[in-house]
Amino acid sequence: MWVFLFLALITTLVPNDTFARSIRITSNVPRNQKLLLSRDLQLLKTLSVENPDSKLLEIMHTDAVDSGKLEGWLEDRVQYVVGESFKFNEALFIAEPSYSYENLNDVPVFEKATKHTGGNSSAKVIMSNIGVSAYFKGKEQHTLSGLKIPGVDDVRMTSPRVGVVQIGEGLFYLFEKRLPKSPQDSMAKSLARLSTLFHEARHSDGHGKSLGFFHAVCPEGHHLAGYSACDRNLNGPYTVGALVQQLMTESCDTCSVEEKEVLRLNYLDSFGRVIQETSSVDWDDRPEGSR
Amino acid sequence: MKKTGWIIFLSVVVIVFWRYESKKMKRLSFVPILKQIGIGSAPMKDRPETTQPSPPDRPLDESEFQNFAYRTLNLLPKKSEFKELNAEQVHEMPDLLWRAGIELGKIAKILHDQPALAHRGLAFYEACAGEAEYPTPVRALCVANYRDLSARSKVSSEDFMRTLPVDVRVLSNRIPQDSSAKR
Repeated sequence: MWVFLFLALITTLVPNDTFARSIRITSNVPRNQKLLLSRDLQLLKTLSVENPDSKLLEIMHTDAVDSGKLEGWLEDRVQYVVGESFKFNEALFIAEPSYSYENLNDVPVFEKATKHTGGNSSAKVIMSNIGVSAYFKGKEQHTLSGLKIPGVDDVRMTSPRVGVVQIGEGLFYLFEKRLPKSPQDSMAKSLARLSTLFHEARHSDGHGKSLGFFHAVCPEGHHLAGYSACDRNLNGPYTVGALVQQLMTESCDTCSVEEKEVLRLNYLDSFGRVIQETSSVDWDDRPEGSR
Repeated sequence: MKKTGWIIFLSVVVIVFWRYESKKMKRLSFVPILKQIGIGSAPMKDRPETTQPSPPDRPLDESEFQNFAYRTLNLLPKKSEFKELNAEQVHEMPDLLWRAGIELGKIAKILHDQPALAHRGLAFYEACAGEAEYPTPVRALCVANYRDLSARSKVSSEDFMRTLPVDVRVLSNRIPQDSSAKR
């Protein structure tokens, strides 16, 4: 009896965001960013969503979508969130010098972008799925890569589904600029950040040619023509991000008229990057390896 | 004795919980409510602001709305402006489009608060949707707003819709029809 009470007392001493979520925000994420992202993930647990698009149901391999399903889908693909100060090349190591990969000769096609740099830029890191990069690097060299993650030690990248995502101040700074009238912790800003997380999570899927769901070069006539910023499939990261953003935006009762307009343009932009030609199909999203 | 033990235990729990929550609130209060600057970051000096001030809180007359709408049309980005962007800037929605969304949000709010300006709003959305130089997502958002506004105003939108490119119309259908605008 007293042991139970003691344990109950101990749990009240520990901050809420340490428990429950399996997405671990690592220690090198600045405190304020960690707080906001933790709240975003907490919000995901309690979101009320209505009328999901049938395509989203198909992508998530389910016949109904609720906050639990969304959370579960995300947690299957993202385990660790690291900060902008995380140095990928320094953290990368060889976990095993020889490793047997599946689909060794079946590799993604990387389309050559014709636009790389433009005019003035002070681009900040928003979010990036570095787990798939680490996995792919190992696969290219037939070694098993690992990442030294602060507070977690060595993580073996046996699959992109191990799920390591890097966030930067761009995720918070740019959304502040983009929805300036909203309070910092507004629902609209959380929804915008969450949709970005879902987009990056999708990069953890695929195998062989579809590994990583790498992007395609936007075609002529598109406002982003020449950039590697489109998808040549109907179930990739831009589709996932758009569908989730659409679902959350249209279900949002606390978003203002102005916020909804911005969020709508956001998901229209994502939908607009799905190359709609007869050869665009659903890619095989079965993951490679196991985590 | 048992009762005393419970009282002590519950008191401790309440005290600990209260202290934790009050510390959390203090942390939140140090996080500034932002106008232009993100968390601990410097503003992006190489990007001049190209938005217009929000309209006044009072109702606008038709002339004021027309002027505001005209300035908005001039602020919306052209396709050619995207060619100047860095590859990293386009992986997510570029700032050019985010600012467009903010400007279109101001228009949407005015029309939401002042239904009497609907006919002016239709003219704005028609101009926006019909401009080939604007990127497709911007045009599509204007089309969706035109669709809903014309339905609420009991005005036919079919003739105008037929003049628009297929990709713009198809993309606009991604925005669900406003339930209050359904005929």
